[in-house]
Amino acid sequence: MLGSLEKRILSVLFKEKKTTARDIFRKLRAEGMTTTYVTVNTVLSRLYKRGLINRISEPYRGSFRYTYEYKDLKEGLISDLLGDVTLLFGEEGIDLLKKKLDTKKGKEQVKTKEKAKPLSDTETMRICLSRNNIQNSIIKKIEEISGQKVSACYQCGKCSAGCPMINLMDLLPNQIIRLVQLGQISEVLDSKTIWLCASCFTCSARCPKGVDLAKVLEALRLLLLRKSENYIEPSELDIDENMPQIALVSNLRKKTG
Amino acid sequence: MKRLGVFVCHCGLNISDTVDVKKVVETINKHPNVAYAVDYTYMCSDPGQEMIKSAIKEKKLDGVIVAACSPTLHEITFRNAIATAGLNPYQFENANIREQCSWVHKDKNTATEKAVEIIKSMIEKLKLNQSLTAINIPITKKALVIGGGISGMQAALDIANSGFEVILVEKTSSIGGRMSQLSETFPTLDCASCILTPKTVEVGHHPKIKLITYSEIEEVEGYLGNFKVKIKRKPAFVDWDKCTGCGLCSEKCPTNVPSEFDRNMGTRKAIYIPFPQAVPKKPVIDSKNCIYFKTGKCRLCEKQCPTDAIDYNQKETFIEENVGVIIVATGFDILSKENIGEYGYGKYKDVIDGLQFERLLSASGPTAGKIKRPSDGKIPEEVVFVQCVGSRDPEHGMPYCSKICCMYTAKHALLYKHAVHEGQAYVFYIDIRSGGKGYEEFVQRAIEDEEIVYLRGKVSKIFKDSGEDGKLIVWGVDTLTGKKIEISADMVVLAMAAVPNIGVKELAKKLKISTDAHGFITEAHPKLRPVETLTAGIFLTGCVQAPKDIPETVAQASGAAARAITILSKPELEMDPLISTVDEEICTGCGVCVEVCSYKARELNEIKKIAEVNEALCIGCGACISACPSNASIHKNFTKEQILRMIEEVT
Amino acid sequence: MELCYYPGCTLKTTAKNFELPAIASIEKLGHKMVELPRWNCCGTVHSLAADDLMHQLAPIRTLIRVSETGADKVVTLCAMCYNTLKQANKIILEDNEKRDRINNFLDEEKDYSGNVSVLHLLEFLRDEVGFEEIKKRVKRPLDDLKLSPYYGCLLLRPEGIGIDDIEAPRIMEDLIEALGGEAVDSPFKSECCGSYHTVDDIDPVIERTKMIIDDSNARGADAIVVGCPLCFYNLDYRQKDAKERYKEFNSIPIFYFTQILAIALGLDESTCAFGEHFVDPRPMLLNKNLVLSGWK
Repeated sequence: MLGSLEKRILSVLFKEKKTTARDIFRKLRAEGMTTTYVTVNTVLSRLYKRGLINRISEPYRGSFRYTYEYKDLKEGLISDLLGDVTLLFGEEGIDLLKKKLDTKKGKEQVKTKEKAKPLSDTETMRICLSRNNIQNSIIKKIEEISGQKVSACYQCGKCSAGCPMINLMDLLPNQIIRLVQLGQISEVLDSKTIWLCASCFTCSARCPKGVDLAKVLEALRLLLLRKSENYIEPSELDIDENMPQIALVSNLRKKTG
Repeated sequence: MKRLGVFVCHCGLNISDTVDVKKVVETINKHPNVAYAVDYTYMCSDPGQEMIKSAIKEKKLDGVIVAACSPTLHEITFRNAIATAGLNPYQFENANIREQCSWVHKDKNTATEKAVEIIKSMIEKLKLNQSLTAINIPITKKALVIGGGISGMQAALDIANSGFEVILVEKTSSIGGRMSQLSETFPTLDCASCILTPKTVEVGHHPKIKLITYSEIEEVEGYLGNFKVKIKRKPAFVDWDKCTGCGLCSEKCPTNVPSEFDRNMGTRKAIYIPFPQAVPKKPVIDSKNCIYFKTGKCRLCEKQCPTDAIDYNQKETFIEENVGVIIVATGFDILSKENIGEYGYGKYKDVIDGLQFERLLSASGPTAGKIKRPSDGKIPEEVVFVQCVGSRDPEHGMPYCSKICCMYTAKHALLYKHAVHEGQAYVFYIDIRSGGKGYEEFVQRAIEDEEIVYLRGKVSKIFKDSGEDGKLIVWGVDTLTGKKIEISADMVVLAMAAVPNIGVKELAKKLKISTDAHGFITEAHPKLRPVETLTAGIFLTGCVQAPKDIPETVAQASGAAARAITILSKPELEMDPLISTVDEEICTGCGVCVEVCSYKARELNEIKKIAEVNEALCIGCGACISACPSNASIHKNFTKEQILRMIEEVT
Repeated sequence: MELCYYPGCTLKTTAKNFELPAIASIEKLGHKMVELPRWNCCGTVHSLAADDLMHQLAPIRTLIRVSETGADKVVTLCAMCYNTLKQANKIILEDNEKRDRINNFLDEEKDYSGNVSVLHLLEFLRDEVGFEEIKKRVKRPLDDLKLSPYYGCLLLRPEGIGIDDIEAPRIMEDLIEALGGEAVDSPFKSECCGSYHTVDDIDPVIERTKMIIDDSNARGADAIVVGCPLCFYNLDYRQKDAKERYKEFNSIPIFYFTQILAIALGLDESTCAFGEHFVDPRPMLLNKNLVLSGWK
C-alpha cells in the first residue's frame, strides 16, 4: 500500500524519469500540493529504502548530491493495486474500476483545458512586496525566538564568507537573513541551508553588527520543529558503536522537535 | 512702576498646539505690571521683532518679556532687537514656555496655566532687573594653529594673509602632515607632494607665520581674546640655527630603524630628516635608538657636520605666547591592523594597510614607487583590497564610516593596475561612498577601464597557505551572485578605519574642549557650527573633527580661519555683563570666594580688604554667590531677592 | 587540590581515551579530579532559543549539584559540555528575570545564583597549574614531535565563552611547547569539523575532515591534538569515509591533549587507551622514540 504523498511523488518520477528531490518538490507545489521540501526528501528516502526507486549520487558544486530515478515496477505495482481491489470487492470492484476509467478519460480531456496555475513567489525570480511582508508577525516571532533584530543586518556577507558548510548550501546565510527581512519565510524554511548549519558560531563571532545569525537560524528551524516537522527520522539513523553520545544528543536536539 | 510688554510666541504649532496662547495673553494683560501683551506665530522672525520694536516705542515699555522657546536659541536676537529700539538689552527676559512647558505636557488646560505662571515669575525677575552695559576687553591679535598638516597650514595662511600673526605648532619635525605621505590624490591623481609643497614653502617663508616644529602644547590658560600658551619644544639635539640641511649626518649614521614616515615599510637613520621636502629641512636625533645616547660611543654625525650644529646636550625649551584665538588641526591616523584577528593580527608581511600602500606607490617611498611585496620583493600579480576594516563595525571596531576609504581604495587599485599591467585587482566592499565632485566617475573609471573586480561582501578570514611560498588565501563572498569567493593573493591591502591622532584627548583636556566617544573633538553644533568648539575662541578644522577628504579639509580650514578673523579683526571684545559683583559695604574680605572660583576670577584687594571680581574672567557660574557667608557676593540681574520672588510667584 | 569533575556522557564510554589519561595526569601533577556525584547529562548543545528556558534546566541542575558539594568551580574535559554549561551559567549571571524563572521552576532544588565557575581542563592547566610548572614535571619530552592543535568551535566561541582568543588562540600551542613538542600552526585550527552532522549527513563532515587534515599534513604535522570527543570522532573515525571517497587522502593520527600530557609526564601507555583510535598512533610514536613501557 502506498501513502498519498508517495503516490504523488512516484507519479512525478514516472513523468520525469530522473530528477532531484528539489525538482520533485517544486513540481508538487506547482500542482497545488502543500508539502515541504523536507517531507519530500524523507519520503524519497523511504521509497528508496523500500526498493521502489533508484538513487544515484552525483558530483555537484564541489561535493555531491542525490538524484532519483524511476524504477519500472509498473507490472508489479499495478497488479498489487488490482489485487487489493479484487480482495476487497471481488468482480464488482473490477467493473466499477472499468467504469471509473472511462469517465476519467473524459474528465482529463476537460482538465487539460483548464488554465495553468499561477506561479508562487518561491518559484519565480520576482517578489511582490507590501507592508504585509515587512510588518509581518512571523518576522516578529523569529525575532522573539532568536532575540535578534533582523533589520540590523546590513548584508555585508561576512557570515557567508566564513561559513564552514557553505559548499553544500542552496541559500547563503546572508541570503537567509535577507529573505527574512523581506518576509519570504516559506522560501527560507524550504532551504537546505538552515539544516546544514552546524551552529559553529563563526558567523556570530565575526558579524560587525553583532547579529547572532546562529540564533536566527535556530529560530527558523524551531518554526518547523515546534510544529513537529522533524528534519530527520531517528529510527532511520545509522549509528555505529564508536559514535560519541554527544553527537547523537546534539543532532537530535537540533533536527527533531 | 515698570511698564512691561509680554510677547507670546506660537512657535508655529510647537507652543500653540498645547498652550492656549490667546488665553495666556488675555490673562497676563490683567497683571498690574503688564502694559501690553500680544501673541504672534513666530516672534523670532523679522515681523515678530518689528512688533517688539514698535511696541517699545508706542507703548513706552521699560522692559520686554518674550514667552517662547529656550533662551539658548534666541535670547541674543531679542536683546539686539530691543537695543536697536533704544531699550537696554538687559531689561529683557525670555520665558521658556516651549521646552519647559508645551513640549513636555499634553493637557491643554494645565499647560496653559503653567505658561502663565512661568511668565509671571519672569515678570517678577524683570521688575528688579538693572540696566547693564557690556564689558569690553582687549584682544591679542595673534592666532595659534595646532597642527601643521594641510588643514593647519591653510588656516594659518588665510589668517596670516589677512594681516594677523600666526603661531603654527607641529608635533613632528616638519609640516606637511598626512598629505606628505600620499603619492597621488583622488580624483585628479595630482601628485600629492606637487600640490603640497607650494603651501609648505609659503608657510615656511611667510613673514607673519612663526613656525615652531618638533613641539607640543604644554599648557593653556586664559579665555577668548586672551589665551596664554606654553609650548614645549622637544630637544632635537641639533642646533637648527647652525644647520644647513646638507644631510651629511644622516648619510654617515650607522643606525637603521623602521621609519615612521614610511609606516614601517622602510628605514631611516637615528639622525634623520623625515622626508626630502621637509619644512624646515633640519634633522632631529632619535635618542632612543642613537648609539651615542645608548652607549656614549659613535658621534659620527658630530664629526661630519660642517657647521658644528650637533648638540647632544640640547634640552627641551619652553616658549610662552599670548594669542587671541586657537585653531586645532591635529589630523588623523588609521586604526592599527594589529587589532584585526581574522586578518592575522598584523603577522602576515604581505597584508598591509592603505597608508603603507601609499608609501609603496610614492616615488620618494622605500621602493621608489615600485609595488613590491614586503616579504620577498616580488611584484604582486593578484592583489586584494578590503574596504571597511574596522569601520562600520560596532562589534569589533568603530561604528562610523571613515568616508575616504572607498575613494582611496579605488585610487589604489587603479594605480596598481597602471604600475602592473597584467596584474589583477579585486576590491571587497559593502557599499561604495563616492559623493564628492568627480568621485563617482572616478570609481566607474576604475571598474570599467582597469578591469578591477568589485565584489560585494566582507572578507571573513585571511590566512597563509602551507608551503614556503604559500599564498595569502582570502575567504570572502559575493553577495550579489550568492557565492563564496576564495582568492589566492600575493598581497592584501586593508582600508583601516580613520581615528584621531594619539594625544588628542590630552590636548583637549588642556584646552578644556570636549571629545566624543571616539576621540574626535566635538563641534559646537554639527549642522550650523562645524568649525567651532563650545569653548569661545577655540576652533577646529580637518580630520580632528571627523574623517574627511582634502577638499573638505581645505574648505573647513578657511572656514575656521574666517571665524578666527572675525574675532581678531574687532577692536575689542564685548563680554556679557551678567556676572558676579561685590557689595563693598558688606564684604568682610574672608576670601572664600577666591578659593571657590574655578576661573581664577576672584582676588582679594589687600588695601581695601575686600574681594574683587575680574570682569574679564568671570563667566557667571554662581559658585561664589552661594559660597559667600555674608551675602556680599551678588549675581547681576539674578539676585537672591529676584530668585525668591520668582519662587513665591509659582508656589 | 581536589577538583570537582563533570565528565558528561561520552567521557565515560566512547571517550575513555580522553578521561583515563586526564585523571592519571592530574594526579601526577599533584591534584585530584573528583567525579561529581548524581550528575546528569548536560543536554548539549546550548539551546539558542531566547524564549525557551526548558533546555537550560539540565545544565543548571548540574551546576546546582556542583554547588551542593561546596565547590565553587567545576572542570570538564568535553568541549561541548563546557560550552553548554558555561552558556547556561552566563544566562543565570546576566539575566535576572530568567534566573528567577528557572529557580522558581526548579522549586525542589536550592536556588542557584551563578556562583560556580565552569572551567575546561586546559584552562585549569594554564591558570591554576601553570605551563612553567608542567614543563618542570616533564619526564619524556615530546622532542621531534610536530603537533597541530585543533580547537574546533565550542572551546573558543561564541565571544565571552571561549578559553582563549577566537582568532589566534595559544593555549594548546603553549601546552605542546611546555611538553617539549613543536606546535604546527594551521589556519584551520578553529574551523568547524562538521559537528553533529556526522550522525545523519556525513558529506559535509568528510569535506571538513579532509580540509583540516590535508592542511596539517601539508604543514608537516605528525599528529593533530584535540580537546573534544566529537572533533575526535570526526577527525579520527571519519578518516575511513574520507579515504573511501578520496583515494589520495593521507591519514594522520589524532590525540587528545590529555594523552600527550600523560605521555610527556612519563605515564604508562595503558592510561592512554590508544586501542580506541581508528588511526593507530602507536607506530608514529614508536618512530619518534616516544617508547612507552609495557606495549608490544
